[in-house]
Amino acid sequence: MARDDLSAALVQGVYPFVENLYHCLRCNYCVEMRWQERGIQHVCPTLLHHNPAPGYSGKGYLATARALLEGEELPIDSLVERLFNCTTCGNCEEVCPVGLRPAHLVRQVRAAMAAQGLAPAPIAACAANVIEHHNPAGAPNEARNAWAVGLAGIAADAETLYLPGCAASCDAPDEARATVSVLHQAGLPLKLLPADQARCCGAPLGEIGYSAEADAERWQLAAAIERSGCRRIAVSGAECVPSLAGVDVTGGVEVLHAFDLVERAIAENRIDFKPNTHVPRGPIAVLDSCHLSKPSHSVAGAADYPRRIRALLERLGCRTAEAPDQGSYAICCGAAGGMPYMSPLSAARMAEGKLRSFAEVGAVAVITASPLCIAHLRRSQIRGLPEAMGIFQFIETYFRLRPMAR
Amino acid sequence: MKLSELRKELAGQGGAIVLEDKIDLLGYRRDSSIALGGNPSAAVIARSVEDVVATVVAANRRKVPLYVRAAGSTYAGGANPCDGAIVLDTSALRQILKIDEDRGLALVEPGVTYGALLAELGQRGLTLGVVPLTGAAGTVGGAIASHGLGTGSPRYQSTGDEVAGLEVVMPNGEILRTGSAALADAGFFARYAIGPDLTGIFLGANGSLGVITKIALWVHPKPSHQETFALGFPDYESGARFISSIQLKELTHNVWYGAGYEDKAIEARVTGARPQFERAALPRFCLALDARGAREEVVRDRARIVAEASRFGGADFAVFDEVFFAKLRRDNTFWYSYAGYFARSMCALLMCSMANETIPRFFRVIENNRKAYPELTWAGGLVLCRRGVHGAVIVFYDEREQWETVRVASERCGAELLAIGCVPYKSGRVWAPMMERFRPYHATLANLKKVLDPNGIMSPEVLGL
Ligand SMILES: Cc1cc2nc3c(=O)[nH]c(=O)nc-3n(C[C@H](O)[C@H](O)[C@H](O)COP(=O)(O)OP(=O)(O)OC[C@H]3O[C@@H](n4cnc5c(N)ncnc54)[C@H](O)[C@@H]3O)c2cc1C
Ligand code: SF4
Ligand code: SF4
Repeated sequence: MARDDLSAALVQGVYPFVENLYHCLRCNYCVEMRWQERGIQHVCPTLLHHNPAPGYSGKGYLATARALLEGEELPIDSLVERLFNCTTCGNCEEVCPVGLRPAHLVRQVRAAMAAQGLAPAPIAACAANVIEHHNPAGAPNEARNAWAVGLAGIAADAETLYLPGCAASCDAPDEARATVSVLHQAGLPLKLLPADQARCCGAPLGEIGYSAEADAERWQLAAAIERSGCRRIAVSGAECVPSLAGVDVTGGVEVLHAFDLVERAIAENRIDFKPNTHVPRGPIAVLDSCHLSKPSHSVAGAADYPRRIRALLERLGCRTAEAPDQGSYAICCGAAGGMPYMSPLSAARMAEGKLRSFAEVGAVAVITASPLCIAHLRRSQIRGLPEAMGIFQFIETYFRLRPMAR
Repeated sequence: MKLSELRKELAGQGGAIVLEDKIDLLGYRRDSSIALGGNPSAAVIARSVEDVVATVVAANRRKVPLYVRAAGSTYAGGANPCDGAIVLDTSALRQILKIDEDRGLALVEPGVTYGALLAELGQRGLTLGVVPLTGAAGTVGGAIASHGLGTGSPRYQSTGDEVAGLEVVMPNGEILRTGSAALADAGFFARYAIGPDLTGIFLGANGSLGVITKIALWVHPKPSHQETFALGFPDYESGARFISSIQLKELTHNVWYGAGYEDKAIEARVTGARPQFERAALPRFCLALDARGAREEVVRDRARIVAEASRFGGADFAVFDEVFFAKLRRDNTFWYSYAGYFARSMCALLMCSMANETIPRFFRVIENNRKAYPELTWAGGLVLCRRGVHGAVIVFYDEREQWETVRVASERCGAELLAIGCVPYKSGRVWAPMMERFRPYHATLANLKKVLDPNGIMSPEVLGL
């Protein structure tokens, strides 16, 4: 492709963000800062664990996009390397005093690059996996429900459709199993989509710049949801909540994270938890997964699941530990934005850094409601560092649930 | 300059990272100011003092200009390089080397942010004297090299007043330690020792005389109690006289922050938050104060300050306190994030120092410029100091359409401020065109630079040097 055409395509990509480009104060908040009272320790995982050069930062992405818009010629290879090494965690957006959206810009420029065939090979391979196998790992789709074989709690006539999402189905099946099992104990049966109809929600594709393909997956999934007849969906994937929030199903559909169902059951006095004897004595940390804790990320981020999970754990008598970086300003563990595909070593360093920060506060386990993070942290699990567990896996391991007499 | 050579020269040092990619260098072109920045040829992220020495020596040997930069958030243009320069990035030099409770000081590398240092000190019940509003990301090195101010100014004045001594890599690569640390075995504990205060020449020098690599800062007990309040005055003159009075009586000793506002800002803030508020009841000038210390001292000083205000026609202005400090209370923080002040748009900032009697004229200059450039949005504010005040002229502009206009307007406003007796505080490149006005001060500074930096490599053009 001629350089001019390429530049024009990239400019198209950055144009929706033109206001952002001219409002960056270059205050450096998105690069490095510490604000104890707000739980901000550092900001950008890419700068910390991949490359400290300013081209890899929220501020850097805005400056780069502005240079593109103003017609500067930039080296394409470096552009690709920098733009595809952002985890799109959104921490830069959380800290920006002006309210600028570098992570959203990154997704948009990635889309322009991918459309020009500029996506790096590992990213293109990940996208091809979703397009062909309907999951980023490239696992055969027909085996998507393998985790559910023989599991009590799955019912063809259940009112709630359970979509574990690609991460839980393929990389953290124990969390999917535990989810069904816990909700079964709570008296809530779940229905599954047949494997051949199950699709990715499109979130991973959107993060790596394949937005049209993401939409195609989401439409197919919407059709399958429609056919299921269910008007309530429970998901495990943190990224699936916002991705499915606007899904087009006749009559509308309620999209919940499976954890919402547990909370509802507790609020309505429908379940009772009995600890078993092995409840960990040491403190438990809750991972502030970006998709679930950063309001800039999505509706799920605004719902602040980690805080709610922490509240449940405390209610159940567990001691909790807080990492120094917490809440909406927590540093990303490296699972998202295609980082594990693009730069697996950097993504692993991010995960290790995360686990170490929990080890420093004495946590014995790290709990999250994001199977994507569970799987990623487990891949980097190093001896002596706290174990990463899904919230349902934790509940299933340490508690027995009983439906309460009504 | 050939990068491969620079790389070779820096190899074997402390792990410096040499950047040459155009995309990375974009990030070094401009700081937070409206000043023009050039295209640097390379940037070096230093990871050790050896890296700094090697970079300075390499730049000197080739006579390539060298600009020091940390977070790059100065609004005075001191970190903007010229074309072809090397940028020495000190932001990775961010170790807190020692918190020495016996000597009452912290020894830090220049790239440490105030946020990081305050967090560590806070765990020991300690804090710092003067902290810029941007302290979460702004570095200690950057602030002292560009004359910082902010929280603590009513009590301690400037960031420089809190410096006990420095380690500086001189333009020839030699390492200088100032104050008592001139004697290596003695280390940092006294700023004034031996002879003239060499520390002072690097404070506010914006990197033009050397690279600061270690800073000894005084530390203080963290105040236990905090109260905020605001006082309204019928005019600037009485507000100015009131400020002089509380300063001379040393009633500002337990005041950690004080911000003075003109009528327009008062109206915007109050009616913005309380649309029903009676405009006619608003004072013309107000001072918002944050007092901290032992509870009984704070309560006592507050009462004395309020009583003093009434002598000058001032009165408690509770609604402004609620509006102004609400965010601070919500954040429960030591400094005032500038979120909200600057969120609306890009701004040009001119920071000057003035004697209190100049305050009315300072606000008149802003009013004149508001009339001369109605297409820009002008705001003015004061930061209370131990003596005198700092004045900030803030001009909001549209970076796409008005960059040229704001640069012209800012220069004109700067000249008017000089004419009424305001002197540049944070200088960098923004005030550089006016430096000639300070003869023989500036000529002496230029001579000093010639001696220390004969090749003129350190931050050329900054401070008009
Ligand atoms: C909206 C806004 C509000 C601000 N409010 C305040 C405020 O309240 N108070 C205040 O003081 N500042 C304020 N600032 C300015 C700035 O954010 C702070 O002073 C900050 O601490 C500077 O640190 P930095 O790391 O960004 O320095 P930089 O911008 O990187 O550098 C500042 C200057 O110091 C020089 N320098 C940096 N490091 C060294 C070194 N190691 N050796 C020698 N020279 C060096 C640079 O060459 C440059 O000239 C504000 C800025 C903005 C944009
Ligand atoms: S989205 Fe996350 S990784 Fe990307 S620039 Fe922002 S903070 Fe860094
Ligand atoms: S935090 Fe926002 S305004 Fe500050 S440098 Fe980053 S993007 Fe720009």
